[in-house]
Amino acid sequence: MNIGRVVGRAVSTQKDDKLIGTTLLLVEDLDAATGAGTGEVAVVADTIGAGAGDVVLVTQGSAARFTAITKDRPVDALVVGIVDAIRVGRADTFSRAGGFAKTRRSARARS
Amino acid sequence: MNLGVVRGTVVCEHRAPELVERRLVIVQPVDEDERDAGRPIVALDPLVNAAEGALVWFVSGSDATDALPDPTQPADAAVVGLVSSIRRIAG
Repeated sequence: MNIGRVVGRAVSTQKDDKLIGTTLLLVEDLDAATGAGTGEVAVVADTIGAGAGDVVLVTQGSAARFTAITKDRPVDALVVGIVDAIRVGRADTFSRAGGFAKTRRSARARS
Repeated sequence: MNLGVVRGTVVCEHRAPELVERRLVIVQPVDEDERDAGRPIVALDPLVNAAEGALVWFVSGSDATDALPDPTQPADAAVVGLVSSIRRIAG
């Protein structure tokens, strides 16, 4: 799986009937260890209610269809979790409340 | 399959109900000399409970679910073993 940040939502009025009921999010890919954005943005289906700014866990490929809602549907990328925390070594690099550690440091530097 | 080194852990409470394995690890893919090879991924680790720094092998893509006790989980990567040593075969 990859880590990504929800940066938008794709609205589709004409779509495959099997996709009705799933939300389509725009998710920017992040480096899982550092949180650095890779610049790649993909459309990812969501069934668990992720919102703008959330850091999410994304499953790609046919495994994205291994849920009750996405079974047999034309989905190849799915949000399977909203990330609460990431720990690398002894450092907490991400928390849902505080964002990535690098971002917190730069926020302190500005203040 | 790929070699990787466990770099960290990810905690995810709000998740798809089908994703039942709790332990999620960040794995840095490496080559046979343990040099970084590509970007880190997040994998389920239901079998070996790999510690940070551990050299592991992992499967990705739809094959990953075959490694899981419950093979119908929406996961595309899973740690399947600890690597104790690598030996080159002279060719």
